[in-house]
Amino acid sequence: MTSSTESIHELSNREYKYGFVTDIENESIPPGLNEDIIRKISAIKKEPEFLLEFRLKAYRHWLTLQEPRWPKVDYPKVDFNEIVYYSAPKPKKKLESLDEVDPELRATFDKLGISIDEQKRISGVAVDAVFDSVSVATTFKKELAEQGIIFSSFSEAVQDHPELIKKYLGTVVPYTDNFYAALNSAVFSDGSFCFIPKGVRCPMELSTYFRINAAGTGQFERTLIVAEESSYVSYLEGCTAPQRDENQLHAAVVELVALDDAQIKYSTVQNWYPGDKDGKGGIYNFVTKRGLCKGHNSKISWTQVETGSAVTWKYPSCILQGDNSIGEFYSVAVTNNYQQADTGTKMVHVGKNTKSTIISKGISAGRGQNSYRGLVKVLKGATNARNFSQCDSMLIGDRCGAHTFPYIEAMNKTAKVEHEATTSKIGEDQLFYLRQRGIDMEDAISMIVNGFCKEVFRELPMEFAIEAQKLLSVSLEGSVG
Amino acid sequence: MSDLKNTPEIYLNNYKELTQRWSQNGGIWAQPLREEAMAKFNELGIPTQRHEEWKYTNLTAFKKHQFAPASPEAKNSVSPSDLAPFEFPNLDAYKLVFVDGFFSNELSEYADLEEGIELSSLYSLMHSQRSQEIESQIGKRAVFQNHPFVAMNTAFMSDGIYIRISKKAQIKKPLHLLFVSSAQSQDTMANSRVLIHAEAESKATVIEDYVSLKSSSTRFTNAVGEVSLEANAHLDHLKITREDESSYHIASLAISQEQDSNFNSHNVCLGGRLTRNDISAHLGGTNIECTLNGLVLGNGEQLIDNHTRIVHAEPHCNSFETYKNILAEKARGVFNGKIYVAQDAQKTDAMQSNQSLVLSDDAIMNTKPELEIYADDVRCTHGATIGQLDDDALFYLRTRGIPEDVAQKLLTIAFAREVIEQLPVEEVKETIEQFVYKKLQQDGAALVEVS
Repeated sequence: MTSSTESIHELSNREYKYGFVTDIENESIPPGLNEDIIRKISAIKKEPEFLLEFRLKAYRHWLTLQEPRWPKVDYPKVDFNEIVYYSAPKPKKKLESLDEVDPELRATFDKLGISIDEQKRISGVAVDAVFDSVSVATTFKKELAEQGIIFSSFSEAVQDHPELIKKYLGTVVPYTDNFYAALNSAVFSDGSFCFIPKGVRCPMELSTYFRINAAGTGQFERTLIVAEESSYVSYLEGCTAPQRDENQLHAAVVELVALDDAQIKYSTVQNWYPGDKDGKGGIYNFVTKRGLCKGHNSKISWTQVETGSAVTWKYPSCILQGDNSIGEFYSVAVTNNYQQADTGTKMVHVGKNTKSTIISKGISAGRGQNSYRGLVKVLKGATNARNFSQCDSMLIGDRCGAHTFPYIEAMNKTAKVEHEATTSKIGEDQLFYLRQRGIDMEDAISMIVNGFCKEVFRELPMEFAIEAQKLLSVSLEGSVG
Repeated sequence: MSDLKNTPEIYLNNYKELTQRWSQNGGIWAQPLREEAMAKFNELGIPTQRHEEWKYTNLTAFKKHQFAPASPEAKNSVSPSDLAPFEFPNLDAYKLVFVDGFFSNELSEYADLEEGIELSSLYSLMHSQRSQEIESQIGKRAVFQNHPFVAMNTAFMSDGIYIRISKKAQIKKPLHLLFVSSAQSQDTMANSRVLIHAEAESKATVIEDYVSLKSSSTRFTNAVGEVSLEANAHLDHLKITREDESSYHIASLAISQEQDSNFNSHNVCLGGRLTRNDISAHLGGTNIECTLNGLVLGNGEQLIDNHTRIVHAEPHCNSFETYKNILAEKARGVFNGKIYVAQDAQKTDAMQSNQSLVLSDDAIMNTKPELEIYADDVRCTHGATIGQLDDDALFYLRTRGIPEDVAQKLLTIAFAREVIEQLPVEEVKETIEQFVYKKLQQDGAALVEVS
């Protein structure tokens, strides 16, 4: 027990590895939120009329909403009038190649361990790097364009393909959906857009990197992925953010649309600044992610590894509308120190023979609070719907908490829904076995936890799986209660 | 009292009228408690589905009724022959009968009470010299601060029973509390309360049985139970609701356990239009065992909602929970089970399982099994399934020449049996099983005699 407490201390004293601030001149507008600010954001981004309309409608709706208090998380009230809603690195000119990227920015990415060149050369991943709110470099664009795939920043897509944006924006997550979705719809700054045309199998893993940089800037990303009939895409999203004392708000919206026979695989590694060991600072991560399996036989798969953020509030969901469509959710959520996470998924079965699988692994250490909150809903018309959910929690240390709040609603007689949850401590005999073999405490815990999360990690693309394992070791290793 | 604007007029008027009666004969001590509860009921109001605890339970139809508090005179209209259909054959028990919540000494049969049981009607106790004895018991476990119907019961509580099992008493015969809703010309409500105090090392079995006599009016039972178990006490609690299909039944049962005690609850929900149970157990010592089992059988347009909550406050306690729902026709089932493990409750072993059979396309099941855990050295599991009868098992029975509908019923009974078999009283077990057969029979084709 003593050794474990020591390990926890050691672990909590570890500095946040990615905490540094890049010194780049920012083009910001004054803090606050009103219609003028929204018009200004829209004007800076030279947006078409319909988008401004969308933003304003969302803003007016947002004013009528209350900040939700039902998640099992606790944080000071956010003052929405103190947030800077737009901040972008000063654009000099359109970049044609990586060499033109600001060297300092490049160095930042190098420190993060995602050197664009490296990615490009070795792994064949096209990275749409989002630095603060504006996309600064997009690679592999040409290669993708040859196949008809559109992969660009949201702002660029608005300029180049307004018809697609107009057609799909807000169809999965309407601006009326919830408080933060409405806020995002009103003020979103940038994000990624991805369109896979009919019958195309995207040849590489698409990836974006979000990073919150300028102090006091809330990030409001908007991602939209559309997979046409019989297409396939795997999309990766990874996040790190520098160390700040002030809490930063992040309210992203991600919308996925899969048409007939299409498949979307969306993987996230989230490692934003979780606050220091006393719970000071850290990111508030309030995200709305939802996929619509619109067509027959379509499939959407969410995989997430959540190790960062002070407060996480996130439920990547699937609306299984098309017959025979499949939804999947694989999640590892880690809370340490004073981190709080309330995360899970919603699977709404609408079409016939729809299937969903939920595997959630929650790990709590220190004074972390980890909640799984999920909904499985089988509507009356969803005959032969099938769901399997498994939520396991592991507790490391005696000051943390793990909670499960699954909602299961079945409305027809052919539905089969199974839910299973367990909560337990890290296995002492397992630890003993490993230590007896000369493996030190930290490595032993890391091994056990990695084994615990294996079901989820194997769903991640290779490059991410390695990063995820590393992350897990960094944020967790060395604690036993 | 003029500021109780949210409370429907009928309750307010009746409340004013009744306070006169209650405050006489030494009942005045309860007045501040009633006032506070009434104010709380007014503040909370009758919950809507926007209230998380009532998310799946729609009380719109309930609200339309004007329930008048039952009168103690109603018991004179009930004769022993009226109660005959509700007998458990061969059951040897102390029978205590309540008509619309009021204790009826005439209808009850409890001669030759074993040593160690003390029984008194709540009304007589509240209005006697000994009122202090229960003053410290009422409202301590079933708190009304966040439950409108407990608040309502506390404000309106008129009668019920106080049961005390003395130290080391091993009571052999079960106590059968039969709550009868009488035939009335208008919609009535009964606010009854059961207080059970099991002293150290005692053992007893209590059956709470809710039935109704034929009537054209709608009856509403608002029951509250408060149970406390001292060290090493053992209590089996069986609750059966089998009121008619127009009745409303809302009940809260709050249990507090001390170290080494053992409490078993068996909650069998068969009748009623709307049934809601809130069962919460507080495990306040070490080495406690607590079992909460339930069987729900719904058809027609019944709604049966069971909320359970087990609080593990101390280390080394075990809790087991099995709830089974069978839903046919347009029935709706709700289950919300919460296991709470406090920071100090190390070595907790909590197991919860909720299985539901949905037999019709119009039936709906909503399940929410929750775990809230703040201790690390624990083993907590919950499982919830919603599904149908096993096709392979059905096929097997059909290959043996058993018609499909019979095979279905056989399997359904088998599903229910896991809970029935654990019922503590043999004679009741048989009757309940018969009841389940009968109820399944209503749903579709006749059931052939199965031995």
